[in-house]
Amino acid sequence: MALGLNLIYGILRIVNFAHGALYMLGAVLAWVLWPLLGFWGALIVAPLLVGVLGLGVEWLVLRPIEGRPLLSIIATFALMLIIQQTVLLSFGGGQQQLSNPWSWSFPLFGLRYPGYRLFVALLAMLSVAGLWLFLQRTQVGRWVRAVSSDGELAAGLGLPVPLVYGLAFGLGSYLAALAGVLVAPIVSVDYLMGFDVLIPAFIIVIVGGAGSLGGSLLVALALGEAENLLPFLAQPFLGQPMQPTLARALTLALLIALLLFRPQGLFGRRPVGP
Amino acid sequence: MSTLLEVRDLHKSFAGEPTLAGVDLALKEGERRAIIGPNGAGKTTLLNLIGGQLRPQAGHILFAGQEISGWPPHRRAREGIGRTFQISSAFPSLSLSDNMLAAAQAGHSWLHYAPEARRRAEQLLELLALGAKAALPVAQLSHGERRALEIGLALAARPRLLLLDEPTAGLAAGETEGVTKLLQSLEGVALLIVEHDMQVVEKLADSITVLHHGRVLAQGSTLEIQANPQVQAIYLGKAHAET
Amino acid sequence: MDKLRQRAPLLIALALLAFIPQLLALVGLPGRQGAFWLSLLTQMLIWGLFALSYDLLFGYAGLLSLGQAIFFGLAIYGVTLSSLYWGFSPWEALGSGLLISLVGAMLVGIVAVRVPGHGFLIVTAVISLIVYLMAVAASGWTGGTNGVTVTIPSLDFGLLRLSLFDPRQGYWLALGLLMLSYAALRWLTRTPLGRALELIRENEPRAEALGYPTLRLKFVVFVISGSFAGVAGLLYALINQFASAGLLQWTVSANALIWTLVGGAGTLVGPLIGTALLKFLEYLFGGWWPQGYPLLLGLVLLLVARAAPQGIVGMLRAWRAQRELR
Repeated sequence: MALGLNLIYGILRIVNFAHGALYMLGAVLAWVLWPLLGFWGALIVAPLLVGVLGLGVEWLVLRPIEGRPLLSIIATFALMLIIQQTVLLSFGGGQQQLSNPWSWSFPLFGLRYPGYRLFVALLAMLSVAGLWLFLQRTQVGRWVRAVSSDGELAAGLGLPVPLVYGLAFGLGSYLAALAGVLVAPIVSVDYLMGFDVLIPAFIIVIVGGAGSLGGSLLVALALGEAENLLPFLAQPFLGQPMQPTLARALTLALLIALLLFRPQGLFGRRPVGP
Repeated sequence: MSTLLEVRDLHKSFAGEPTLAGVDLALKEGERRAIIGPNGAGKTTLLNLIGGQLRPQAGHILFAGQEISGWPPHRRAREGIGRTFQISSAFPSLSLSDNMLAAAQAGHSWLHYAPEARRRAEQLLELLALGAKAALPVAQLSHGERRALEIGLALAARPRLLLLDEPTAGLAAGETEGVTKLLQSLEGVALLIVEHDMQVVEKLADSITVLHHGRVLAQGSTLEIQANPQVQAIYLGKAHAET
Repeated sequence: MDKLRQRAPLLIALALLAFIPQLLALVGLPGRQGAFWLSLLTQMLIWGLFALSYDLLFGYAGLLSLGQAIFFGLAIYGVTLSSLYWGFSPWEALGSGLLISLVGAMLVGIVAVRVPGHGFLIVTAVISLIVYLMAVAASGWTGGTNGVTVTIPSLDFGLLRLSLFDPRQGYWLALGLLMLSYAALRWLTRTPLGRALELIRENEPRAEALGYPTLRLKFVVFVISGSFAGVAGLLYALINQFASAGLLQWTVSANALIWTLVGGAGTLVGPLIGTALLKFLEYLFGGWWPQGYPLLLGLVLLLVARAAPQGIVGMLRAWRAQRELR
């Protein structure tokens, strides 16, 4: 989830509000496609569909207002509303529960740890590795990095900047939807699910450092772990388990505090020149 | 004449690449100095360090005897360092007169416009010969007019030192002449000009500093520099082909 | 004379607004229906004031924040909780509500204005989320998302005692407070300080190089605008006598952004027009097709972003300027 957002934010310098909605769309499509294609089919097809949608959206909506970040942010906010309401109108507002594709689980620290979560973690790491390889090793990846570090210079060198923007947005959408499909069996799916993850994903990107994929993944993992661990750590002091909402509030506050010391993020490059 | 600006052993690097590697520079009160050098020599970086837009990794910047290298840009502006930017659209949706008034008002009251600031703004619009267009938003001005405005904004607070980043870049011949005349007419202001156009440099500058790979390659009067074989080899020979 | 003619539309509109309760009674809408329309108008005034505070930050200083609801909500909670649990008198409760939103704006502002670029947007949104989560976590006290109600029957002005249960008196209170705030903001935006905010919006590095302490200015405007959001919160607490954690959400700030943008950012009338229009549409859709309103909102926003970034007021001004040219 944060990975796709990082790609879009790092390269297009746009805060993408539609990202949560695209993530939700991935999950909803997984729910729709599951009976038709099975889990693996949905895993492959749903993100592709959303990725294509992302390409279209970039071309249709964002291209005409390129270079005006404020308006672009507002446009993505509008897209978020439209996608959410369209899903609500066509699939209803009820919560859907998907069955777990694997019932297999294994013991970990005395708890039964579902194998599916391991699979999700592995796939997330694979995605990072794949994205990294794509950015480092392929011609298109080099373009993306060039545009990300200096859009004007890249245009001056004759790189197809609009194509790169479109691609980044499409790929970002693809990753959002992939995350959506993957979590679909773990959480309940409804049209507002993107809402809850949107703001934490933003802060992950900022703290991890815009344009730093590894940073995003690391902070995402840390955030998840801190939220789970904090209630246990705090138990001796409070005398009772900490509420999950409070734990989440505290971890987020911690990230904000981190930003005060490193405004450019943990792994972000310092901005080059004014 | 006393020394107005002194730069000592200034270092600045980006992502480990040194852009300035120990620059020394001294400017007297009212002196006009041009900084030349090939692209990437660190000219704009030097201006940004003196103006406060960037902070150096090491070295000293003294303005009128005070160490200013840790000061934010607005404090340096208040102390008398004005600057223009290479690419600047000023404040595009405000009118020309509002742009000028805001520049002249800096440092005055937050609640009332000072009569003095109003006079200064009008006087500058006259000086720039832009009085007729005072009510237009800056976005509707021509490129040349905006370059002139850029200088006017920097002059509004009556600086003692003016940093100019390629004031004539992208101007037609006639416009370049206008800007050159404007700068020549200024009195009591020291100028530090980054400039590619050697004709402008000849007309404006008392002395020249040549930057190359982040170091001062040569420094001296305009004639001395033009006669310097090393400078000719790496810079003057290529200058016209480059621009 | 000329000045009077320029202000005439505003004065007429004001007079009309002040006598709306009488007008409603005249056209035969007394009793429950009249009261309903009046309360809709009152809500528009409250949220209009909130949008106005947002516009100072976004429209003038160009700071895109999603944290404005924090100060709105803090003021509401300040009033309701202090009178609920500590038995504060109405004036004491109002004072503590304003104080808490002021202090909140200072604390958040000190952090947020340092974060460069769009980080500001994200940091304000995250702090908004944190405050919301904390209010939810303290449900026993704050009522969480279900909210708490409070009873403040009247406000004593010495000579005059306003009954807050009477829709007409509530309406006048809201109108009066909105007008006072409008006048204050109108004055503020016309001072050199107001102009300095516009400089930051237009070109921050240039403003700083001219000698404007931009960081300090951003902090100041954040606190002023947060305090006005607090005033809107006081009004909300007095009229609706209710507080809920949902009022602290970043989506509440996003609403203010939308109203401001549609009406016309960087003008003071714009946010009011935008709020009134969209609140009215929300009401219309609410009775007929509730799911349709956000969809419409999305489409309107896309349209504004693509075709009319200046909003309604901006469009009207451009149209008038063009007519004068002819």
